[in-house]
Amino acid sequence: MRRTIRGRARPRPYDPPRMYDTLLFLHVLSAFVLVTTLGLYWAMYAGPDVLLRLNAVAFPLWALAGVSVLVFGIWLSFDVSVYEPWDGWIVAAIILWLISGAFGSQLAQGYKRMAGGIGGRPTLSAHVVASAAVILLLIDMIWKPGA
Amino acid sequence: MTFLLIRADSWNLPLFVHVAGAMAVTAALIVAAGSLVLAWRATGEERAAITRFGFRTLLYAGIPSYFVMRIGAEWILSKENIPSDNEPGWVGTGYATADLGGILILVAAILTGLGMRRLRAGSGGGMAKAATVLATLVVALYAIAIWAMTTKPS
Repeated sequence: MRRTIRGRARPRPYDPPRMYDTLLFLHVLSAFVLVTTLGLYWAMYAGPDVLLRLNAVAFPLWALAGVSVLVFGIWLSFDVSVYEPWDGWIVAAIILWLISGAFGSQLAQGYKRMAGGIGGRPTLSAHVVASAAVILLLIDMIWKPGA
Repeated sequence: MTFLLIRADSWNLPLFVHVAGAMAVTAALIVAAGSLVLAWRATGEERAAITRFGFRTLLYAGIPSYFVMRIGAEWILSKENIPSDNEPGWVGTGYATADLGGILILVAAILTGLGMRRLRAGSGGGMAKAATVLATLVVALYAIAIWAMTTKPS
């Protein structure tokens, strides 16, 4: 059954966790992890070289959060009757996700190579574009243009 | 009865400020905690450099973004017109985690700063370790806050 936002039949003494709330929590939590990973990449860019060891955490986090934010986001769009996955703001979010994913992966691979002693620091522009795409994603998620 | 909650457009900017601030403060705390954990194993000048980086992250990123998050929270709350004598549980959870978290961030920054100074004299590692624990604790508190803000338990 697809539901409206915060829809429920009637108040009950025991209210089991609602799918919408759970999906939204997991979606937002994934977004927080994604931003945190970008923070770790900025730290590796600006901080001392020893911080490259943080890539051992950042690398899997970026992959995990990148996938889960998309999966829970699309699941939400199917779960809520007022949204469709082909709505303009959702399509825009997917495009921004692809941009942030491409540049974020460039950072993840770059820092992995650097930690292994091959290659230099990823470019500033890759950090800026990945971060800008994530900020635009947040703006898109909150304003939902066209929704 | 089925009801639908659609957010008013005037709530978007305060919500953006609140969420962006919350994301920035969480990222800053994890960067600071991660740096300080690395400092535990380091020695000499390297240890001092990492601790200094952790301190600057808390001071220049953690504390300012905490205020952005907190100001955004008050701003969006003022838009929602929730009666102060009948606040839902998630608002209370938000206040508790944000305020306790703010105090802990401040204490963690002070401890890291003091630890950084004492590292020059060959001590101070304990303070930085305590700050790491506090920063990690705040991240756990904020995970609870994210749950409360998204699921909005009564």
